[in-house]
Amino acid sequence: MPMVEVSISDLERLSKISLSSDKVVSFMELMKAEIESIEGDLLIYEASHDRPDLFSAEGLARALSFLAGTREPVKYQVKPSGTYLDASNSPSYRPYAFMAIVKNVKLDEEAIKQLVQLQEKLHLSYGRNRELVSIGFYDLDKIRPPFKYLKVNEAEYIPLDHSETMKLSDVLTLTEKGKEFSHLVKRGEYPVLMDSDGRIFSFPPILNGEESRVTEATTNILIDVTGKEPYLMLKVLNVLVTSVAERSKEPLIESLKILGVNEELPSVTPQLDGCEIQLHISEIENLLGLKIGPSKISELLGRMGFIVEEGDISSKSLSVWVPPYRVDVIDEADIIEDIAISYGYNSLGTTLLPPTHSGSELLIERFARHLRKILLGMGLQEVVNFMMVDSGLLDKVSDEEYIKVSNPKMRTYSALRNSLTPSLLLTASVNAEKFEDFEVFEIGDVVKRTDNKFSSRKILGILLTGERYTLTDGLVIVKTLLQALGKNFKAVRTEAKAFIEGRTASIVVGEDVIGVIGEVHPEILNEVRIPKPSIIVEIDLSKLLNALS
Amino acid sequence: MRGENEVYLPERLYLIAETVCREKRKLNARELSALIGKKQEDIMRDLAELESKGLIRVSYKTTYLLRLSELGIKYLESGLPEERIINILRTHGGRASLQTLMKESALTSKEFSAALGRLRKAGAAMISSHEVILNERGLTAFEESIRRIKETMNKLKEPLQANSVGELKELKYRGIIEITPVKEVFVEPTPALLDLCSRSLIKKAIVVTKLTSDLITSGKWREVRLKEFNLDIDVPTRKMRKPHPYLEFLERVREIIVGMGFREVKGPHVETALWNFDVLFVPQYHPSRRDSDVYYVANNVDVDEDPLVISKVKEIHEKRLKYRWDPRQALSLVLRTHTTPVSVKTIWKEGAGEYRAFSLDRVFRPDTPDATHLMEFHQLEGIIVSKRVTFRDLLGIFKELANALGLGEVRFRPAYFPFTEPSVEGYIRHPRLGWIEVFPGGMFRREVLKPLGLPDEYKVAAWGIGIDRIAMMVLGKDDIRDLYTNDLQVINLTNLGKVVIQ
Repeated sequence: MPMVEVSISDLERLSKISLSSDKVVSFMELMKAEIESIEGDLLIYEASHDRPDLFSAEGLARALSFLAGTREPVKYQVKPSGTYLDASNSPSYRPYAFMAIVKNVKLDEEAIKQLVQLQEKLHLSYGRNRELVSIGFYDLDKIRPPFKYLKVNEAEYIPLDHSETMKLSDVLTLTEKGKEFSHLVKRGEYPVLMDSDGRIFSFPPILNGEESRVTEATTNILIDVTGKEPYLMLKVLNVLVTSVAERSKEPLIESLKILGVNEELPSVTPQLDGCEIQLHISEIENLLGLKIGPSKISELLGRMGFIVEEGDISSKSLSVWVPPYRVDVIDEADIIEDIAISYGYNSLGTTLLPPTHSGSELLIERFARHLRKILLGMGLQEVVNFMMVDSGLLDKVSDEEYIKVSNPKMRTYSALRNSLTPSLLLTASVNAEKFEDFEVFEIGDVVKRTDNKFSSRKILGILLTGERYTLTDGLVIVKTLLQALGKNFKAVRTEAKAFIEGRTASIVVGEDVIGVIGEVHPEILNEVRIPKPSIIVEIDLSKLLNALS
Repeated sequence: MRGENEVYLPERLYLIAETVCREKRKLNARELSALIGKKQEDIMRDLAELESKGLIRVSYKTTYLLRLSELGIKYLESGLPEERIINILRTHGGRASLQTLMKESALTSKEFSAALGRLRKAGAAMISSHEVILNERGLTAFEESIRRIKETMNKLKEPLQANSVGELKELKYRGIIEITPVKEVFVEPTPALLDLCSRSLIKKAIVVTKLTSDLITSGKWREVRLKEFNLDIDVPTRKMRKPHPYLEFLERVREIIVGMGFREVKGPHVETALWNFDVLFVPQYHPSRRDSDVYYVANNVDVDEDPLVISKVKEIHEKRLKYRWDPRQALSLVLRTHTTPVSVKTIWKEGAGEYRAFSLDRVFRPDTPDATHLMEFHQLEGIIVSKRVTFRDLLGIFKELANALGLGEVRFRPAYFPFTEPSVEGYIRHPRLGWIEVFPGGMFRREVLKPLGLPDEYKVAAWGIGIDRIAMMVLGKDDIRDLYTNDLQVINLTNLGKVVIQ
């Protein structure tokens, strides 16, 4: 979840409400935001991923003023700018581009900081780090419309924070952003934004141009989104435009024609109409378990920035206008959640639905508990280990394939155990110094390859570690355990990587091999630093269960 | 059969009672112990016990044991210091210098000056700054007092018992005699004892420290006395094996959730992204799918998933979220990051109906283990599939669970999960950390349920609780790693009582 930093005085300035700490805390809860810290004027919070409109102070202040009732939601007006963006010659791997203009804005240092933050958080979350969507802001008065989004083989421009022109290919190797994002562009097929003077003012998704940089003097802003996912781009553009507009007392939002996009996509952007969703009053009760009348609904939704269209009092549904920045709202349920939030989760009250059936646990879990009792009664201590183990350890003790993760954080936990042997060996090495000898067991899941698939299996593992133990002691336990379950077994000579040859056996009940027993090979004992003989038994619980039935 | 009036006494008590009866008088305990051949200190507890039984009366008197000290013995041989000074003065004709006296008397300076003091006080000598002159007038009476002291000292060559100390205090002060107070104990039979003795009803019993099979079967247990245990003596603990505390806690959780009418289901730990994310309406561009948040499987394994699920999921993602959904991404294998795939698979299999299911199992998320984080932990997953279930019922389930686990008050806050709407996070109050989030859940979105084929009239309340945090609270552990422990010392030290009491 994105961590967002805002200034409380900026929020107060934008929302025109005075914000005490208590107020901030209670308001933020309704925004699904988790406050990280409030120190002086600085509020740091973790914004909810579904609310990109709250990734900066502008959107947050807007939401706060609706909640506080100091502002009524209104629909957005968009005027045609009379100009266009030509994307007909765009690179095929990043084919889409949209633009919007916001005029009459007033920026200061804090406002610019917020815009940069919003851009960055949107890049990271919705843009999948610029791969899907890339964003740019420009001072409209420094460039000349109409604009082009096109691919070029090579060109020059002055990149942001530079004073000299630079070749696009050099931008990729010489600038920090270039190095970080060069994998997103193809050599010789560079996407650029160009104005009608033929000047390149941006090299998306890498770096904007210096000449059109947005400064405190900027009053008219051009916003672009380019990338691979057009609808995501449009959502992001809406969040950007509506946020920038908050920096103006009388914002003037202007649209551009978009040339060269396929017919399904809008030919004019931004599209700030928002959407209308039919809210069935019965559905509120159906989902929340609480009856709420139309006028209350209207009030509750108003506080969340929605507009409930005037309707017949007796009507069964209401038409709700969803503002264009609420990109998370796609269904009736999303509106009902906002009703519940506005009503207050802790005011909803709770109910208990009586069960229709009796509960039950899985047979294998019940069986496992039964075995635990028997083994504890035999004087073995129960232990628990992680399913994740060191792949290096697995390579030493197992011939069978195991699940390896491609992105481990540390080698100690880089694979899933395919038997309990690695876990029992870890147990032995942890306790070998502290105790002369010990008898332990673990019942746990492993992930094994059977046929062509990996599947989870529940295994009983037993470990005896100490000078006095031999295979016999393990066989005694197996015999006692199986006798308690009314079964006899045969030990049939076998081989296994972890065990000593000639001191390893399959545990066979009837015709079925249900497990294995062996003395751990001294080479392995040396490697995992267990200075004493160790006997390991492994029994597959579902095989044992089969053998019993 | 034991007669009604017979009194069985263990050997020593019996001996004392018998002796006291025979003597029929007030006996000094010292004398009594000599009579029965024991040490006095050994019979004191017995006397108290006999007295508590009303068989004897015990009384006390303090006397003093007087005895000549080593200094006294020395003075008796070589004369008291004042006596020696008088003798020396006499040999020097009744007067001598202090120096001469000091030298010839061979007394310590303390003894010397004390002796001169006594001579002067009694008027037996006159002492100037440099010499001492005998004063015959006072001397006679003084010598008489010396004679009396020596007489007393002679008497005390053998220790002597006296009722009071009187004028001997002076000699004690001079260190010539030692006085030790002695508490004398006297014992006399009560009329009850005398009566029992006369009717031969006092019998000897044997004290045993342990009941034996022989005593039980032979009936001899009636004649012996089982020694009372000293409960102040600490006992050692014995070696024990105990169920693993964390698993015991999970058993308790299972018991609670089964009691609420849930049926257990299980699913694989290695899952396709399709079930872990896509079916759950998590967009493919969602940050929770980044490899910093999910363990991806490196193995090259054939994955086959139901094409129907794939096509339905593709349709709903592309229609509702409007992006290009990539089936290859959905078919990558992950270590499941939550148990919710188990819930949606259950719905996929079971379809319509009124039912509840739960899963209590492990999930995985990339993390470096520390006191509060693990890369592997347990979730308590649950769903209620019903035409009637509501969001308020879900909140009610959280309250019930908190109540059953002894977690106290629950507060609810709005939350976001891609697959539920409305979504909630339930908080409980941790004794040290304040409000902590433990109950995440919500109502499954239509976008999740539709591709699973669940008819529109059914709703699903769902949650996936990270149960480890609660386990830490219940078991009183501050380090989450101690839950999954294979360290026998840590297991031994864990208080299992907490699982039950909560």
